[in-house]
Amino acid sequence: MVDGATGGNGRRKGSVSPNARLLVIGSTALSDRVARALPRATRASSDTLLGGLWSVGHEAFDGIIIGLPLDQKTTRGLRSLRKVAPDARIVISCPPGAEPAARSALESGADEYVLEPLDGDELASALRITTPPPQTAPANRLPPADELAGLGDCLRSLNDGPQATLDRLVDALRKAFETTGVLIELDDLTALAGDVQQPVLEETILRGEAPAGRLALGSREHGSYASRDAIRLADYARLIEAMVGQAREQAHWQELALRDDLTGLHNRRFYDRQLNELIQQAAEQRHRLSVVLIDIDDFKTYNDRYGHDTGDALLREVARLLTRCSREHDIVARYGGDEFAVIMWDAEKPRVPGSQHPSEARALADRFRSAIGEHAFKCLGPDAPGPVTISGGIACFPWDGKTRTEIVGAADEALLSAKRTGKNRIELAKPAVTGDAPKPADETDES
Amino acid sequence: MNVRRAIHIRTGQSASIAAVDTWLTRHELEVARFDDVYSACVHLLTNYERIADLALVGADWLADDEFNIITYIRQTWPRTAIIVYGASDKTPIYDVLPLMRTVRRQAALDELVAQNPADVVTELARRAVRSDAPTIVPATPAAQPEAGSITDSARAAVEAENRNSDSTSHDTRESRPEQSPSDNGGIAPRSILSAEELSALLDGTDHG
Repeated sequence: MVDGATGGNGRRKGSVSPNARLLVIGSTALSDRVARALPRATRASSDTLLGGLWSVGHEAFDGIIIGLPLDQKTTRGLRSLRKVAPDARIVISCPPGAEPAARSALESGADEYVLEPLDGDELASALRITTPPPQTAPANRLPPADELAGLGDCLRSLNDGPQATLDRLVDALRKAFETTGVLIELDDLTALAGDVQQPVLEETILRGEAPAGRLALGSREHGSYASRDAIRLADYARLIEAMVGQAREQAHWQELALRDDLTGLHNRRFYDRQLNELIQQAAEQRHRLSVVLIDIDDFKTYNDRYGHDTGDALLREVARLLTRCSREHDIVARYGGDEFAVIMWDAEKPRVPGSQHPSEARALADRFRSAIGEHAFKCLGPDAPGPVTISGGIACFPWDGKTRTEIVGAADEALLSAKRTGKNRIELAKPAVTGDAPKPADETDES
Repeated sequence: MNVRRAIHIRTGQSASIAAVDTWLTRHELEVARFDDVYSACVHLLTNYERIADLALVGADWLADDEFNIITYIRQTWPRTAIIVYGASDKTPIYDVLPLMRTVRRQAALDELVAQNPADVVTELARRAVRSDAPTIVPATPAAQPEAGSITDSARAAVEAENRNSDSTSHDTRESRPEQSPSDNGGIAPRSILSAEELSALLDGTDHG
């Protein structure tokens, strides 16, 4: 019995698809009721038991529903049906008063009976029709458009590095979950938006099967979280790990693309890009910016005398010394060949009317020169011809140029001047404007 | 004509059933006997390859919706001679159809069982040749018959028979009703036997 309304001997164990092929033996009204109860099933019908039996002999049915008077004739027909269709599920549909006869019919080959009026669930159960659990269509799992837009921003920030990606993610999640705060901790990175003093929802961020961090939400701004939100949070935890991983990988490749293989310093591509950005920043914030171009004096001689391997070692050693002598925020790059470039920025106080060339740049450049000159280069051995010396040219923004090309050109001119005037010296670029009180082009209104 | 195998659906009066059974046994036919049309239908569906030369169907205890067994026999075995016997005047006259005969009176039944089954079948075959291209639905799984297709034709003949007060007439030319494709489940009819087939059949009989 199923819910007190069906009964059966459970002979057949297999389940039947909702798209089952059914044979209805009985009135047209019964056939219509079956159609309504099991709309996905396809049906054939016969108003006589003999006709039904004949049909079963010619077509395979998953289930047979019989709605005929349960007399001796029907009993005989049932036995024959069972012989012809041993695998079909045979269900008797009968009024409640005929239940005893329906029970007897089970002995004649019926598998189950259902009492009228027909109920779809009961009939499906009697026919062993199993409805697969509803699957959430992938389309329904997609977040709303604004949430997707937030995720799009995060994806676009992958180039900006893992921290930037994480920072955008906390903002996107805060909007998506309408929460008072979002905290993401992943490896050595942390990003926080709003307040998450007392997390309400928390999800561990896994890398493979190992915990790599956590994602926590504060309380909901309006109302409370639903169970679906916990599922979404788990989805986001996986997404965060994937996105930050991608950002890390991208950063790694970017770093490789902007580094000089030989010295490990930034390469010229990075230097040019960085200089452009710093010039723009210096212009906006009225900072001074100095560029020092450095060239190893007579480097060709070392290459010719000691070979290229020693020349390479010399370049690496000079690079190390330049890095050591420069300040943390200075940018040291290999400009090309035996030329190095250093960008000194934020080294001086903001410009004020009447400011002049920064003095610290010159002092730092001289430090480079003396450090290298005094250094004993092991790669050259004890028979080194003498100290390694460098020449340098300094150009400053905005006095010597307002663009990268102008400033680098001015520094290059100064370097050539240093070379021409005896090497092992640092030269300042010639001021672009001559006079007693040189003024940068962008400060003419401040005088 | 060699008649070796028969089926007997024993849904008639007991005396008639016994007479037919005795007749079939006396002539040493291999007989499959069924007490209801459902077991007979199972036989048709599962042993269709064991073609019967002769099918006997008792009509007295057949419910209206069970007469279709005759249609199913014909669909399964197009060349089997079918004899329906019953005392009731309501028993349809199938004589209008080829290789079929209705026996409605005790005297007629006595006359039937007095003959050799081979002679009976031969006579029905001969009549099929004489008749004007009678039609039968071929037995194919796809061909689902309309209920009573053969029986409806036969019943129409009963009415004509009653009007003529000659229920034993075997002359199909005079009593055969018009038969439309819809009588056979909407499927285009075809001759049960071609002229060549019937000729070959008659050549093989002992009676000429």
